[in-house]
Amino acid sequence: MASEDIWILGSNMTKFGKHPDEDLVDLASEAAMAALADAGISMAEVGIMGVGSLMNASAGIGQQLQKQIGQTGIPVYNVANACATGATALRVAIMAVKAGETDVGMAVGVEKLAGAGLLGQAGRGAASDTWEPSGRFGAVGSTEGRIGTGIMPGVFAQVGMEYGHKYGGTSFELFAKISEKNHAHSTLNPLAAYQKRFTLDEIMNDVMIAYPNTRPMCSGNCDGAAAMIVVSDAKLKTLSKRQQKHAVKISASVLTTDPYQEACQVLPDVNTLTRNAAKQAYEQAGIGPEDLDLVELHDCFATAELVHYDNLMLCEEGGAADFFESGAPWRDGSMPVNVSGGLQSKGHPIGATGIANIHEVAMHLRGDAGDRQIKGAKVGMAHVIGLGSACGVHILEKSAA
Amino acid sequence: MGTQVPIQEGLFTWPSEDPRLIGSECNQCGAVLFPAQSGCPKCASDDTKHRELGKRGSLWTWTIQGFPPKAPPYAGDLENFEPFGVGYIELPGEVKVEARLTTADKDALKIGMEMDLQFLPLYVDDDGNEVITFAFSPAQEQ
Repeated sequence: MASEDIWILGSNMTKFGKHPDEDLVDLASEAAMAALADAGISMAEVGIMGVGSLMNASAGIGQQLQKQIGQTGIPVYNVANACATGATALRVAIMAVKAGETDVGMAVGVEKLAGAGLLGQAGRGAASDTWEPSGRFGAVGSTEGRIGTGIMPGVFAQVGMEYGHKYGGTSFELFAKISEKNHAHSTLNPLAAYQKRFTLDEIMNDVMIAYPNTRPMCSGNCDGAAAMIVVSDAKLKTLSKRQQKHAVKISASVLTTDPYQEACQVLPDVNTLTRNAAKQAYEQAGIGPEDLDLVELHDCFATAELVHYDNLMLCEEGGAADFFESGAPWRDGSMPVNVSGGLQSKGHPIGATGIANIHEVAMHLRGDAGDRQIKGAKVGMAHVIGLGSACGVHILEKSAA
Repeated sequence: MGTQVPIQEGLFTWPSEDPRLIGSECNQCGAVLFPAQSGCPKCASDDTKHRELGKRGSLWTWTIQGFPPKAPPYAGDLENFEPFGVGYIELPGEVKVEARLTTADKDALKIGMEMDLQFLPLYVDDDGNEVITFAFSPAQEQ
């Protein structure tokens, strides 16, 4: 049903990194105004905004943003969904357009995280009067270092160790090589927070954060924003030929959570909901993994990238180590993964991440990815996961126009 | 000098002769959870009972936390921080439990190895009490 297609008409991300002179709202408006300019439309035409900023989830960032770019009185949905916050904001805009409430939606994700340190447990003031988790679940789920680790490097280290044990073929060196790839890719991406190439030795000999992830194998906390304008098929048909050619089709847009499993309730299983999201996305788009020209996946840690090769069905089940060793996910390989540099070098400003990875894929499909362009890319996938958990998968296709 | 206190009431049966973790079991579908809860995420019933869990399991996955977490909530000694092992222990037929491990030696840990429940002092609280938590150690006979 072609008439129900949703299109990305405009898209932008700020440079990720340190922006000490720019406020959260400054970054958000920079990306939002650039996305409007890229789309060739004005704020007056936008009918809904989905806005995500995880660390400032209750600050009404959407409304603050409107005061910078246009208070047109349209509904704002401020969303929070862990590291899937940006993708969730975009899903809100897409759903509103799909539902026929408006023809034009805007999604914005923004975060200021430079210098935030290890994430997963909010550091609280000792004298704070605010509510803190306590009781049985506080003791088990949130009491860092007392009985476990909720800090992300430790969580994802264990995810990788479990995969390696189940299927074999992994080693500290293999995980480090994944990081070597992404840091190498980042040298071509001027929007990345870090563009330094690391040798395998440098990566393996850096500070061990949580075995087997050393510091360069962890995503970088940084500042950044990303924004996107989506339109209905009917709206696109009324726009210029240039805009129609420029638009990228959203062939699939999926968000999943954990189904019940025989496990424990504090154990994050990043695999099942990702696999479920990928299955639904391939079905929605009517394509298979073999049709993808590039993938941006949520490599919050080197260990995470490996398991997601498998979860997104880029390789046979259990074949992630062989898939990597074959060279496939390098930018000149058969299935380029994270040509942006990924979260490990492009950076991970949480609220922006879920839109920025879709932006990256869209730029390649438009032929606007500069030095890092994957030539002739027609179909791509973007994946994001937030623990708790929420997983977003989008499949994009180049405009036929 | 303070006394020994559990890190949280209702989490385990220590102090007792044979201390166990306290989980719950759904009377409708049999799902076992830790810590105990009154509702069931598997079948959505609200009919559960307490169940004392087994004390031997196998190591399902692990890592070594090599960096001091933020404090609070981290209650350990930040100045003399030592990396510590953490992992998930699969209690056969019951549930996977997240726990500290008694060793932080990567060569001493292997997924699938047998692990035993232990109770040990974690830190001394502001009142001078020694706070006791649970952990798992590699079983003596593998």
